[in-house]
Amino acid sequence: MTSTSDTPVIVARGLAKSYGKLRALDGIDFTVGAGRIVGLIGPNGAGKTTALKAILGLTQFDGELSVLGRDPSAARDALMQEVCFIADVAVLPKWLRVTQALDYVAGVHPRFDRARAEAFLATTDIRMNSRVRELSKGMVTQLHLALVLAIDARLLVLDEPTLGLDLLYRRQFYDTLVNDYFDKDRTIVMTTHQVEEIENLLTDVIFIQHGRVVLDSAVEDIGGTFRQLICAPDHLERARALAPFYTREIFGRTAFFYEGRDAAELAALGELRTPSIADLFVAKMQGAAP
Amino acid sequence: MIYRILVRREFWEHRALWITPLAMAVLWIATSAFFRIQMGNTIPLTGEQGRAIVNVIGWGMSVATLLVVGVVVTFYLLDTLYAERRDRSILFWKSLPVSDAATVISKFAVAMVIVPLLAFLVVAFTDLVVRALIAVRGGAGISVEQTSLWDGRMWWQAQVLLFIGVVASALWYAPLAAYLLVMSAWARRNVMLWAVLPPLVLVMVERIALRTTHVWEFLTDRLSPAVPIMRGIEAQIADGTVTIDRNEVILPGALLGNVDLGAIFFNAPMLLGLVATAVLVFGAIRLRRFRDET
Repeated sequence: MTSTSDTPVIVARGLAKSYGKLRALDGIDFTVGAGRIVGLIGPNGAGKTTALKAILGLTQFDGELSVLGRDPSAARDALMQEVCFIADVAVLPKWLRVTQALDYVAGVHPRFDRARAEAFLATTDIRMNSRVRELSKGMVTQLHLALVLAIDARLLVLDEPTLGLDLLYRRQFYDTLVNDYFDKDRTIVMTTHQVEEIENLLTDVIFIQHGRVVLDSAVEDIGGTFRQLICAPDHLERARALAPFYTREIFGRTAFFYEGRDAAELAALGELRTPSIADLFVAKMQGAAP
Repeated sequence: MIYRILVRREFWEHRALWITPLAMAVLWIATSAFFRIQMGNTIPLTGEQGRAIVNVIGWGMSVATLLVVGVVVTFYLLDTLYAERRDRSILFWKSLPVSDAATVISKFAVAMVIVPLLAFLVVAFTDLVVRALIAVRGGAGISVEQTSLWDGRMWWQAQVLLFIGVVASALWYAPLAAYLLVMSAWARRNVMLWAVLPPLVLVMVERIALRTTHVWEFLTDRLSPAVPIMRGIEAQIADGTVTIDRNEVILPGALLGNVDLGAIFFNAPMLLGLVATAVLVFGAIRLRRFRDET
């Protein structure tokens, strides 16, 4: 993975975690550079959340892991001065009032800018004296986002942040994230099932399956490595002979996915394009399936 | 100071911690403002007897409030490290730069220092109002030769005694509180059952296997509400310096003169209990840090 900075934000070497006999993470290596937006993408149970929990110091692990130069398993509280986190389920407690949430974060977080959070909340329908239980799921996420946006953090970790939200909230969430939060000094690592919605945001993707990394690439490099061929009907045999790692039938046409094949070699066989991240994800997951 | 906001947080979530003593105060003040004591046709009491009765009323209300607060604190301790795991808000709390030690210590301090202190201040003030109301109402039904039932010094002595009792109780029950905190951090569900079961099983196993009752005696000694304060005067009762006569009213001044603070606070069970408390609180911190089920 490429990096815009010399010191990476996250370095994992042989990161492993077992739950009993289940090997949730099977010794994975990856590096996340500063100023990147990294999508950690994988099917359910692939180990994405386990990896994020290790990064956040919420779980013990084997192997080496360094986040902003610290060991998260030993220094979670210090690390959280510079790391923010929004998880899939709305984890804000139901009894908490909006003003209390602001008071609390202001009280414990030295890098929290209360005025900024209040300014963002003013653009929403959230009332300051409401309790979390009175807010809709979308509003709870907005509240959480307001808190996080106002923290001057270096790493933001999002675990399915928009699960269960309608399209308007999802779109607004990501727009706010990119426009009001992200800059070259900040890094975002996120997991989501709705790959299509974030693929234009991402600078890097890491695909995880069965606790292993199956792809780790900058988005701009995907086009150089992976090609999707919509094959002309009379070239099917030749296309298959070039060993695609995944084949898909769409409306009676056949799409082949290749890794590391030269464009010139394939161009004669049909229509060539760079696969979308979503298509590449499906191809990688299904192609790798036994 | 991060602890200020951590403590405020506990009172936001567990409003019963501050509502209970205040509600009890309102109840007692209203009671002493509107109810009359039915004395029947007994002969008028002496002024001292009358003031002693007023003292027992004030004390009784105070102790009742403190016992109810004790129950509220017990449920608080059982719930506090469990609720955040149940609703997964622990992920939010842990996303902020607050250590597990600070979190657990703030919760324990709320249960064993701040709430007892708050409750004491509320009952002391309530007692003052109650005594004043009874005096102003000319006894509120207590028939006494001499009309003034007001005795500010007695109120003061009663509060000193009560304060010693509150501090002694908080220290005496600290290991139990820390044990509840551990269970709250550990149990997957039904914290109350998990908290009660292990000691009960121990008692039964001991009784069946060894035919002894040491665990039971240890538990009843630790749980008995009279133990912490009585320890300070039991020596005097034994050697006859203090006599507890059930037919006579006990005046706080007499008790206060005989309280042996050294005996209350510096005895082996008390100090061992505090060592156990430190170990258990440390255990609760470790559990919150490493428990991984969300």
